[in-house]
Amino acid sequence: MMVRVWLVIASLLTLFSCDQKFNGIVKDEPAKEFCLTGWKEGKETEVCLSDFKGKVVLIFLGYTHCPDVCPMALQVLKRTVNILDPKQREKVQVLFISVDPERDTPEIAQKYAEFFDPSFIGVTGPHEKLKEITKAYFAFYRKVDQESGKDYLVDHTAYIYLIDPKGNLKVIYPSRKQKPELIAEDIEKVL
Amino acid sequence: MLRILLGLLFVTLALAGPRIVVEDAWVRSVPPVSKTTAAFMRIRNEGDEPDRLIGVTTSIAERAEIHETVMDKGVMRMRRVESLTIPPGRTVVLKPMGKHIMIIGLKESVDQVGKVRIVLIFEKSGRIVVETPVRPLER
Repeated sequence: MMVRVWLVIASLLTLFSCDQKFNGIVKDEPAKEFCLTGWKEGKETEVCLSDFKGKVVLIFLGYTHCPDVCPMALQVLKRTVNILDPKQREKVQVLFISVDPERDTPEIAQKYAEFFDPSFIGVTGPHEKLKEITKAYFAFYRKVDQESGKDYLVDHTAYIYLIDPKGNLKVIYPSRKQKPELIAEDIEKVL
Repeated sequence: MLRILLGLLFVTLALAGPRIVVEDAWVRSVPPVSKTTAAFMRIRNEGDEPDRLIGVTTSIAERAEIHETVMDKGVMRMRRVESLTIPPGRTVVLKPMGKHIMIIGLKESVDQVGKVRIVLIFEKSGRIVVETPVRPLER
């Protein structure tokens, strides 16, 4: 009898931990809807988060003049989708949002994203919209002028966000937690 | 005798000072639409005096600068560093998410060239040319 009780408790614990355990910061709240500008078949097109309802959406905010952290994060996302089997991959959309619309047109954002994987989508938009997104997604970015010439850098949070198929912001991965195997594991949990 | 002494002095002078060795250098491949990339490497000083990396040039881009990525409460900040001291007997590692050479204003896609010639300018050791392979992106 005692053994059975323990077994029930153990299985409940397993269930509980399966449900709760993710490899990043768990948020589990409705993801704020946004619409930005993408680039498809040679022209600008509106891309909204809700377009991907029913899919897992992985979002990264960055800019194409960023030589270190941004290509690394997109590589992580590429490796993540590579781990998934083809059926799971169909249900995952990677979205790269450029917070540098002055230099990154929707075309540049798209071409940057698709260089990592043809399925990746790159978008951008006016600062008013980007600021709304960063506010809702616990993010931050700021242009920093360089002493030398016209170039500038952008300070920014380098989080990867996992939105589940129901449209909930499920997990945030700060850069030290951006491991393809761990993100893929979480994707399998929400699919 | 004087000749021998002078000879010895010359050898000692030649041995003194910094001796810079650059290893494991690589350039990050970036999508062709990106005009910026970074180079990483290990800079070792086998000599007995410090040296300073004071400049970088490359013919593939408009300019190159020493930068440092700093993660501050989740915010990624990149800052220009004026120079980089390489103490004697030490290795300074330029690596992702840390110090790196930022290559700005790419004139051609690094993905196409395979190797990038980078000239490191040291205060005492002068110019050191590094043929740096481009590490392709996993696609």
